[in-house]
Parts: sequence; C-alpha cells; structure tokens
Amino acid sequence: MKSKHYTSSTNMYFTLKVVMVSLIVLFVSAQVNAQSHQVIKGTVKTSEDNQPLPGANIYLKSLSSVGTFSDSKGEFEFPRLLQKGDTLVFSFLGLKTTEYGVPDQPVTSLVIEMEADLIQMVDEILVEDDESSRVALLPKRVRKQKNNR
Amino acid sequence: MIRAFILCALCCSVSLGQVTDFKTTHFYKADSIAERLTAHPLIDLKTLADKLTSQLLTEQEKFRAIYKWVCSNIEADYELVLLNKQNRTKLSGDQLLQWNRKFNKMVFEALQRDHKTVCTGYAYLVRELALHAGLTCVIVNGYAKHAGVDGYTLGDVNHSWNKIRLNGKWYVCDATWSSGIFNVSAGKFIKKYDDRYFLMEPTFFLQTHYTLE
Repeated sequence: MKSKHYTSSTNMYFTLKVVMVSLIVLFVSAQVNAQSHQVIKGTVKTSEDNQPLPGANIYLKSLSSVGTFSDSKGEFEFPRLLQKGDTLVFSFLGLKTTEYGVPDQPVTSLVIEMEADLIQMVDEILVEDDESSRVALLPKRVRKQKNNR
Repeated sequence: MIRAFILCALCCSVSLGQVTDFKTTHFYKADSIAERLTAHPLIDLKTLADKLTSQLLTEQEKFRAIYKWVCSNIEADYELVLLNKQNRTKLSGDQLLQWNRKFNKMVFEALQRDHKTVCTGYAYLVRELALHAGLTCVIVNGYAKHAGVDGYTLGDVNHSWNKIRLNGKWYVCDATWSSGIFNVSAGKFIKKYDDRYFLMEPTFFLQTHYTLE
C-alpha cells in the first residue's frame, strides 16, 4: 500500500515536471519567435531624385506569389512576418531590380532606393518602303525619309 | 580586327543552339497564353511574367510565351528612333551621357504608357520578363548587318537583341525584328510576326547580325 502511494506521488511529480518543462519550452520558443519574425514596412524611393515610388512590386524571393505594392506615397507593409534569411525583391519598369535581405535585428524606417536601369538605347528597326523590300533604317535613309514626310 | 571579328562570329555560331533543338516541343500552349494576355498592362512585369509562364513546364515554353507576348504587344516607335539617332549623331561627351539618361526615361515611359519602344526596349522587356520567370537572359548590343553595316564599316552599335539560356545552352533571338515593320509612308507600325528571329539558326544569325562578343 505504501509502495503504491509512493508510485502515485512519483508519477504526479513526473507529470508536473513534464508540464513545467513544456511551458518553459513554449514560453522560450514564443519569445524567440517574437524576436526573429517581424513586420517589414518602409518606403520605396528613386535614388535619382529621392522621390517616393508608387507601384513598385515587392515580393518574397523564395515564394514570389507572396507580395505587395508600394502605395501612392511609396510606402508598403509586407503582408507576411519575415525573418533573417528572407529576401525581398523590389521591381519596377526602368529601374534596377533591388533585393533586400531581412536582418536579425528589428527593422525600423526601412527606405529602399531604386536606381535607374541605364542601358544604351540603340534603335535599329525594320522599315518598309514597299511590300517587296525589307530594309533596315540607316541614318542617311532616315534623313531622306524625314524630308519627304 | 576583321579576322578577330570573323573568328568571334565562327565561335559564336558553334556554341549557339537553335530552335530545331526543340523539335518535339509544341509551342501552341505558350502562344495561346501570350494571345490571351493581349494588351496586358506593363505596370508590373513580375505579375505579367507569372501569368505568362506559371502554367508552362519547360524553359523553352516559358521563354516562348514571353517572346511571343513582347513581339505581339509592343510596337516600334519611329519618332523615338529618329529622335535618338539625331541626338546620338549630334552630341558627344557629357552631353551625350545626359541625353542617354533622358532618353532612357522617355523610352520606359513610352513603353509603359503606349506599349511602344526602340529595339533596346524590346530587348529590355524580354530580359526582364525572362528574369522574373527564373530564366537567364541578357541584352546584347551589336550591329544589324542588313542595315548596310559590314565588317569594314563598323561605327557605333546600332542594334540590340537577346541571348537566352535554355536547358544550359545559349540561344539568340531578336524581338524587334520578329515584331513587324514600320511603314514610313503610312506612318504606322505593321505587326507581322516573323518566327525566323526566335532562337535563330546560327547561320541566319550571322547573316543578319554582328556581335561584339
């Protein structure tokens, strides 16, 4: 009888211990989670004139279906909590696609500056004088055609 | 110079793939997706790239949908062509750099607003959509051979096209010339898709283009 009582109290003690450890683990993991996952919000600007950029596409590099756009003030709030190792991609026509790696520490007032995608614009196109000939545009030809217009 | 040029061209022709590498691929689905998205706005290239390619499995089909969309939805802008040619001939040094910067903006604005551009605009759009679709693609500047330029009369580069890497192999394509012809007397662009410039055969590429690489 004594031995049964002893076993029962040992079991109780063990259960209590398990519950306590589980609670501690839960508490610690919640803390860690709260520290590493964060809301990323900020402003997108053009580096050339430092003006807010509305309509920039912002998406998660590892899962490009998750994303958002900068609003009329160039501001955005990413719709998913992010952690260190996540990379955001910022894209806009005519500007260099820019990537931002989420850091470990909390991010406040993030500003993403996007540079102009300066490429040498050249301009050969096909022009048609008549249905039978296909010739490309030459400087001399352009002048001639321009005068004729 | 000319020898180096010829050698370079020969090396280029040996290493390039061509459309016949994909004899068993049917591009109907890719073409039909591109057609379904006719006149899709160009505000967000990522969304457009996703819509064009998400239902396609192979790299060549994904690229085909992108290429077909660009060729069918973008027109050559003759006014911009003239304007740029005039300024590039007239200006030099810092003024030319300034002009290039200004012209870049003009091209991107026209592209987004009117779906019109110059040849580098075509190449830019193909590259950007391909990159968003996870493909490797670059812009190549060089010479349009049948513009009267040959190995002896090289001046400033006058043309842009793309190199695309599909299944580990490089291919060349020219969306500008695939898209159609500008009819000067009528003052309008005539859309006329030309498939010869899609993943060009190396011999045809050498007949029509000079590359600086």
